[in-house]
Amino acid sequence: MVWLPWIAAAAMAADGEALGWRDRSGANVQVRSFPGARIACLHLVVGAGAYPETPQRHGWRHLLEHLVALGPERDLDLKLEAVGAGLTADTYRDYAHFRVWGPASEGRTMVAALAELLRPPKIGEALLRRELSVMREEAALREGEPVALAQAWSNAFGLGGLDPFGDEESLARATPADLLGLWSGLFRGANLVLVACVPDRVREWASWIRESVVWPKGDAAPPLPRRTAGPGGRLGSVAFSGGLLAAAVPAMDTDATAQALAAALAVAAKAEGARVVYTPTRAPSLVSVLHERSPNALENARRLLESASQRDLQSAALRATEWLRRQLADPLTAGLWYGVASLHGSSSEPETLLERLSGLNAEGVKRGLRRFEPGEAWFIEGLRP
Amino acid sequence: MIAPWVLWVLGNGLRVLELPNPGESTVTVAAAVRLPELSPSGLAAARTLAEALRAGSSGFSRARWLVEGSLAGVMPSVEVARDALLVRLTAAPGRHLVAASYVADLLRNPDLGRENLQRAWETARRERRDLWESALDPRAADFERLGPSQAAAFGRWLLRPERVAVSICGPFAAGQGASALKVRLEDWSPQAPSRLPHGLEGQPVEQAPRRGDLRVWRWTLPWEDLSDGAMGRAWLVASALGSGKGSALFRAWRVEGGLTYRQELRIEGRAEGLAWSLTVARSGPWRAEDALGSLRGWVGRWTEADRRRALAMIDRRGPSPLNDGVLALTGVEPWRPLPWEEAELAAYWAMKTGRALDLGAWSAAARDTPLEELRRTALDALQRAQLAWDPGSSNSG
Repeated sequence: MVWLPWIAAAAMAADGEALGWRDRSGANVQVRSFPGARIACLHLVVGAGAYPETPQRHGWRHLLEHLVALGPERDLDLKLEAVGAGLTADTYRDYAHFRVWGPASEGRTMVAALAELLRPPKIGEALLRRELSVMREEAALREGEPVALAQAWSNAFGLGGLDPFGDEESLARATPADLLGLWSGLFRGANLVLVACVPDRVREWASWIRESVVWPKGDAAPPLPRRTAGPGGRLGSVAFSGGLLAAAVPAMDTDATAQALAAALAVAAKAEGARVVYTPTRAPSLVSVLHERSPNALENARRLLESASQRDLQSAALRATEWLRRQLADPLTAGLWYGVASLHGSSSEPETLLERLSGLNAEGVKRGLRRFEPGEAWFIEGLRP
Repeated sequence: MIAPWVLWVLGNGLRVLELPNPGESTVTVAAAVRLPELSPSGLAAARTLAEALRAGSSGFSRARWLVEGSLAGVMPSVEVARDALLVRLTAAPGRHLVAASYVADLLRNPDLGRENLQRAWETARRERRDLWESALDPRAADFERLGPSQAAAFGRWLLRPERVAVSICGPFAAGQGASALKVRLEDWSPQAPSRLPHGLEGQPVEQAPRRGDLRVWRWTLPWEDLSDGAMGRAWLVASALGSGKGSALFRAWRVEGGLTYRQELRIEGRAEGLAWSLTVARSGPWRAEDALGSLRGWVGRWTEADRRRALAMIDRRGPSPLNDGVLALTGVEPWRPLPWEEAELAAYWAMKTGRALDLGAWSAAARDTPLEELRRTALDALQRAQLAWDPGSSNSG
């Protein structure tokens, strides 16, 4: 095991410290300090490279995430909550994200919980059926924003944009053996990144992690399959009564992504009640602006911005910079950015994106806005009365 | 934990609260305006008024509010809760005088002109709520029997100092924030109270949300004792029953039963006091009585470990005011001591009780509640809670 101390990232507090190493299993581990933070947060990022979504196993990673998050003894939440800590888990197209967070004084409990997450799950038929029943209820409740986002992704990227939520038919096909096989394929050293965001005592946290966590061994997963966005278009959605504007962007550290993010925040600020959705990834993806209630608010806001002053556009760039700076300064969110960047060996993309945002001028924001124009962007119009 | 707030009652009845905090990076001014029990037309009037207030005041336009908010990275908000209208502006440090001016002017000089109210009525009427939002606040709003002039009259009746509490927090010296509010609001003395337009006050009408096979069950129970001791006990019970993934609701219905994905327990505002609410959605077959029975069984088996977990959750997660309920005590997102939430809650609590919020006292009362009392209070609440509606027969039997 090699320790590689490096200079704290620009976005971290000036006295921030970081340690990183690659475990023998191939897992990438980082411990980053966030001086003054009131909590610590362990981010485990599990790459999806070996198992991208396909119609045959649509949603299996999501189902596995539900089962893994319970813990091998199905008591992980209870153990964490007993000390005021907690766990969240999410499945995205390119990775899954497990987040263990809590008071920094409970570091050992949190690291122990992380170690449990990395143990092979116990998946029996009864447990699987029960969790599928929960997921059917989750699917029944789904409406609005996630449905519109899934529609935009599918239309932009075809099968490459398949929503990881899954569908009932493919989920019902999954057996315990399938899911254990999936676990073995995903939870292997070189496919795992841990970013521990802690207030202080970086070396102590690193020691706990080295002592307690047994990483499953395994080679690197293949890179994410290439997906390419088609031309934009306009669609209706009966599952939604708002509006969605989505622009295709390349990897997270590019000028185009920085421009689109600033433009999206400018649109969202003009259309009150709107919000921007972007999931960091090194693959092509979407920057989306959503208005939950009004189908036309976003398009109206975008048109208004065509005549916006230089100052207004520049302030959009400042807002975007500030947004990312906050993301990277918050232990609850920063680890996802660094973890995703590190999945394939780098960790500098978040800083590169921040640099690009902070160097953005009004012309750059205008270029970003062009990505949201009809013909370029995907527009989902909510048709639900 | 939220630090103690200092409360002043001005000569016109307005309550002002202040919490200076040199460590904060934003300033927040929040106002809570007491709402009566609203009929469907009254709810439409409140939502129309909120939309009208989002346009800003005659002195400070909506664009200026948005600029202030964007400099702090927090958008301003005007929301209708069950028993309060909540207004909040978060601004950059050093802007406490500006933020106080904006909120004070909005309360004193709202744009209740016909044009703004017509626009607000149309926007509010078009608002769509998703199924879960409707489940948590199932009150029906009737916009068709409400004209802009009634909404204006409602606004004039509602916005009076004796119905309002305003809080301010941020990095300023003690007394500076309160002084900024007092200077701008102590001479606020509107004309003699006008009459509340006929038909706006009244019993709310609740509608069961439903989509396809998906139905919603909702039980409620009034909670009238708002003393700090009682609130501490209520907080502990809510935490044990519904806060986090180790809560009785989550374990009994989701983890063990595999019955539900979403289930929520809240303590909500009411025109009089508060109320517990337990809400669950289910698309598959469901026997509500059996499900409640399994929940009661779970509560009956609570041990000291469950009580400790509930207390740990209280330390982790402070209550926060949401637009559909006052004390959202459930959920799985990490607690963050967001100063604007603290400010909103402090204003709400002063409006509600006339007292400054003292979460330290709540917390102490929660800690003093023994396991047996925790169990008894929870079982009693589950026994006496009333089903808000019949969600339909085909799946419930």
